[in-house]
Amino acid sequence: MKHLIRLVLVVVLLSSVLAACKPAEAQTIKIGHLVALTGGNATWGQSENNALKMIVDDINKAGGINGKQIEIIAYDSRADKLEAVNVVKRMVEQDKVVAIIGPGQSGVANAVREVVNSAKVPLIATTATNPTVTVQDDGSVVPYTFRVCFIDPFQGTVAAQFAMRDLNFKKAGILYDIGDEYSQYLAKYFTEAFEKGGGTITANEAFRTGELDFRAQLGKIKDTNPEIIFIPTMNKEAALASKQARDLGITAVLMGGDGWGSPDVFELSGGAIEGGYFVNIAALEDPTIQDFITAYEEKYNAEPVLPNPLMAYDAMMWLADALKRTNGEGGEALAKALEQTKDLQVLTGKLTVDAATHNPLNKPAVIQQAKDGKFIYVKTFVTE
Amino acid sequence: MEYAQAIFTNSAIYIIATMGLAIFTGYTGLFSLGHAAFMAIGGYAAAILTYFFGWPLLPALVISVIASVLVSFAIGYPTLRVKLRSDYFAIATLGFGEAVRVLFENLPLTQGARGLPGIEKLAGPLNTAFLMVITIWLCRNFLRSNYGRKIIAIGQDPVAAEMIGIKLLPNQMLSLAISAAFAGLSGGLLAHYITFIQPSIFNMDLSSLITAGVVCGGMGSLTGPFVAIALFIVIPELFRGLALWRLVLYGVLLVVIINFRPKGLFGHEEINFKNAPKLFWITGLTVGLTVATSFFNGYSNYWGRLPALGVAALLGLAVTFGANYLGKGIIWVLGRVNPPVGGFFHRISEGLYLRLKSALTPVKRQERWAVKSNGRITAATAGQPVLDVNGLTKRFGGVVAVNDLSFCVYPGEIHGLIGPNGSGKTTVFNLISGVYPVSGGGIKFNGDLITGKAPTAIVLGGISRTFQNIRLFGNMTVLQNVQTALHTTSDYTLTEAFLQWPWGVRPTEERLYQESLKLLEEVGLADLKDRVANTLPYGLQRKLEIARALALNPGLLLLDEPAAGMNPKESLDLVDLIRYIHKSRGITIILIEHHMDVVMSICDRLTVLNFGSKIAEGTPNDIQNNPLVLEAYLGDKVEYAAAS
Amino acid sequence: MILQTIITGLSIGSIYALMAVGYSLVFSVLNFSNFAHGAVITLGAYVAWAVMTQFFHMPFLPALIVSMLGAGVIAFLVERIAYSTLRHRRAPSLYLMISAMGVAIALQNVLYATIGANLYALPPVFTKDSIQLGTAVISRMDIFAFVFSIIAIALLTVVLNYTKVGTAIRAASHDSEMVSVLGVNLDMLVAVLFLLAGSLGGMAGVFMGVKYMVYPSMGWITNKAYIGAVIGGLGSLPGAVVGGILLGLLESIVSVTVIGGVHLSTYRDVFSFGILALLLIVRPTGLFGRYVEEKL
Repeated sequence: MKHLIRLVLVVVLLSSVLAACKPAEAQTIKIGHLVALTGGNATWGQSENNALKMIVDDINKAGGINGKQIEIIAYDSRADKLEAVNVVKRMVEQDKVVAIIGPGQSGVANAVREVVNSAKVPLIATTATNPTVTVQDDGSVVPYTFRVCFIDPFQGTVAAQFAMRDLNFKKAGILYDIGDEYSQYLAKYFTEAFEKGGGTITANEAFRTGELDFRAQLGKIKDTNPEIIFIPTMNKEAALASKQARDLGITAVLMGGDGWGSPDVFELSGGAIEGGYFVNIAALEDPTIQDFITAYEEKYNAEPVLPNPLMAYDAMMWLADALKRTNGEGGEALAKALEQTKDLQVLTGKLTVDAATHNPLNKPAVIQQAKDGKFIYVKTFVTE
Repeated sequence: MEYAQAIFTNSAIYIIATMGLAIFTGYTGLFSLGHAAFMAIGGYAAAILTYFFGWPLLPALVISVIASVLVSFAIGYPTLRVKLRSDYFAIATLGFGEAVRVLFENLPLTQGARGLPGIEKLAGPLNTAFLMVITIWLCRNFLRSNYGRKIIAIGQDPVAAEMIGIKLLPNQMLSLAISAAFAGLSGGLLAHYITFIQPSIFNMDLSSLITAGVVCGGMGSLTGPFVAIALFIVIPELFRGLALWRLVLYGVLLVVIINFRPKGLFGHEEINFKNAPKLFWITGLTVGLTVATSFFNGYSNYWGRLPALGVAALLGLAVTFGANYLGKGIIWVLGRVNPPVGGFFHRISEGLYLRLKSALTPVKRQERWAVKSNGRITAATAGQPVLDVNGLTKRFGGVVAVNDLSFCVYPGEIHGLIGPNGSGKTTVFNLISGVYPVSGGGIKFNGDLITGKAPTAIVLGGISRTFQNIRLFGNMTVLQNVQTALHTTSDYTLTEAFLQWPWGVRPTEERLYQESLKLLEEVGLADLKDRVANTLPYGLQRKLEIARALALNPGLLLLDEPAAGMNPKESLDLVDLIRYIHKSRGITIILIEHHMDVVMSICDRLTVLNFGSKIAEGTPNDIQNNPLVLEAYLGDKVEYAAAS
Repeated sequence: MILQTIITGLSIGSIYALMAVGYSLVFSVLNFSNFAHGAVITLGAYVAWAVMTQFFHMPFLPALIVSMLGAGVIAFLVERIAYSTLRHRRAPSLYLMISAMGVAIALQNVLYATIGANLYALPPVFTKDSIQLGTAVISRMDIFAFVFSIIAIALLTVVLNYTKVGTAIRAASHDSEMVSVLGVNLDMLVAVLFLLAGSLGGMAGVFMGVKYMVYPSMGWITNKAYIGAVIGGLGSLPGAVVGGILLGLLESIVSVTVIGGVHLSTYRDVFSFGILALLLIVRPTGLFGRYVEEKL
């Protein structure tokens, strides 16, 4: 007993002495990466994390930010909102990151919005396309959230306009996930744009997250004979829906959003996804990113799962540029620097930020088609 | 520091919900797998009020509590009314949880899957901590009241609880409502702390987290779930690097705890001086781990991994032991300061309390006490039978357990009901006390037909009983067992119970205490009043059961084999006890017994059953000499009968 | 349209039924809700995925058998590790239920932590899948799964009714204590029980894998099967089949119903739950459940 107490005292004393000679922190700039490394979105998340590590290595080798090295602190969000809130609190308060890259999901981004805002830590969402991530309901911009991708109204409009102008369709059916805000809002924007262009929505059906069988809903859609069915979901539901639609003998063209762009949809759908179109943020064929793809394949021995790696890459270039201007300082100065970025050369083109919305201007969208087990580049859309 | 605050607030919010669930699942043993739904209802109610209507937090939280309580009635009444077994109930709540989420996904007001983003951050560490303390205080008060005892009793043995007149449905609904109320409060706080609300937050993972907290912490305790849920929130934060494996560990932990330590951390006990060291070990370990990990993170780059790990481990150990000894020191000091009962400080505070009480108690209430403590008067008209069983029949499927049985029991009698095993004696008791519905015939008690009445109504009407296989509230103390049975004479309201209102609760509880002590003295258990009931020897458990039955002040007492399993000395004791009770209380007793010496020495009259039918009735002497009985029942005991 | 709805409902319902049978089988003897059944189903699907696409490249039927065996063994191991101690101690059924929950959480997350969250497809069994039936379409796989489920359940009934082990299981479902007193090795019996329940679960998992896909949280769907089993009456095999199929039919009918402009498809779970609640109120033991009076 006495020995124990003595031991305790000695160790406590010893360690307090040791703590006094704690090493001076190396001069690094910490950047948080909020990413889904596990869970349904892991394919993209892991690729995103890889790409981010790649560019940070490059930046650090080239001397870092005005001589300071960048350190990435990545935490898994599992694409779970509550988990993400905890993780961001930890990044902000424990790890003292100056900025956060990610997440890739609008729901998660909305969940952590207030946390980063009150901590004054800028966050650059990679593929969170819902407008509310950066703009509040009353139209005012959220001071500390930014994004590098386009937004859903644009994506929905692109999909609707492509269906009408390029494919000449006038009747569309919709199947969406009511439990997922990304899906719900994309369906809404598609409907608005399609109806504005003079088309009709013949059927608007929904299912709940986690469900596997959509044949009842698809059967109803089939009865209304649409020429195209818009399925704004992630790869899992897209694969299931396309398979079940073909099983039911539906011949209409299928179309989706950037959630489709995972190479496993071909296998998962048993090839039923063939011929479907979808809107994406970038395509593998894009000539400007070929160097990146080669480098990525060399390093990780796998193809990057687009578009997340590109977006993380762009976000980091944007952030590095802003940090250079603030000389590594975060907070309000960094937010300001991010906001004022203009004509910055990033991987996918030139980046100019709209200060009123914190969205990139002139961000193109590409239309891709699933063909012969591959995503084929069809067309590029640019906003005015 | 803010990060620590965040973890603390998170834990506090979950603790509020868990305290509520501890009252429901922990004490009634019914599993709720949809408890997150109550959090969702509370969260949305509060969030809608502050978000759309600009209400302040507190009134919004009140509404969210009310909303979840109302919903709990709607879900609790149908499911609890039919006495679903726990599996059905669990699946029903699982469905309820999903259904509530579906509603929130679809309703326009709740804005679908997107929910309400950007709720004002009104909940912080301070008000959450305050509400958590209030929650724990309220829960503790409730459990220490008459209302709480009823729920605890139901959880330990629903049948026994019914047999002392506790209605299951209203009490189970009450406990569900309480748990829903705190879940609602917790949901409201959660929404205003994380500043958004969406249906997807309230999934089954959340429900099972708080359920697991209650189980791992220990059923029948508030301390245990409190500690467990705090650990569940804090420990994963320390090991974020382990990512998914921590969920695996959490599942494994459930299996291990339930298999090897089913009581959990603090099963059926609250924190006290004796078990506090357990808590210090847990806290010490957690703090030690925290210190060790943060030390390792800080120094591993500087000193290299191994030395840093070594020092971190040592430091962690030191902190663990340090915290442990610190805790023990505090307990030691507290033990010194805490005034023993009867000590100087105690006397002064008691004196003050008594003076305050008499000065402040409204006159009306004093009158109410006077009336209540008189107890029930059961007057029986002379000559009329106390119990009149007429043509009683009970069939289980094709088996006739009781066949056209008629007999009368007269006031002041000790009536024996005997017969070979399986002759239907206990079934007769179950029919009298309303546990089984009768298939035919009628039973009159003091002239009123009681067949078809609810068991609780029959008990409260003046027939109480004991059981063949003892059914005590095993985890309660001896005293509490009797106190629980005195529930009908308690007169304070639920609100008073929650507040432990000194002028409502305390005098009544004191009276209940004295009355139970008197009852225990009657059966000779007063010295053992603080023992946990199931640690008593068998014979004493029987006596306790009799004391509990007497607490209801019955006019008719049904004793089902009170001497079963007793040695001759104990049976003699028991005979004395029964005689004494019979004489001092003047009550009528029906006795089922196999010990012939007991039966023959104390019964005034006997009814003999065989295969569910009456084969003889009369005084012990008549029965001993009745050839039919000798042949059908006594059989090999003929010699004994002849010898006596 | 109506025909198509019924076909879809039957196809979903038969999977529910297959899951519900395994769940109900365990319940009938051990009297507790085996919430780990979903995890066993998931692991069964992963076994099929492993032998079909990763190693051996087995064709469908052998793979089905292997994964049925695999899932059976897993169910047996789960019993040994998580339930047998409790069973021997005669712990209340609540404890077994909690243990099962723990197993479910642990197993699902072991999958996440090792194989990962990726989605996998099992190779299709038929190349040309759908058959035209007038206006409706039916998929060959559905017919195949339906027929196989019926055969499996029929076989199980035969085993239960005409073999010694089956008789013992049925006897144990009435009074397991009595059976053990009579000299039947209850541990052995429970092992057989879990093998049977597990292999039925494995079969359900494989069919799900082929019809839909394989992923760690696919066991979620068993919640529906539990509801089906309760509708049919826990512990009753015909009840589980009827309950599962009824629930499937109800879901697909609700999915295509529109009342006053509101699509009921998104309210589907409210209906599943509503019918469960209604049934529990009207007939607490389900359609085929037996009522046991407790002995005092």
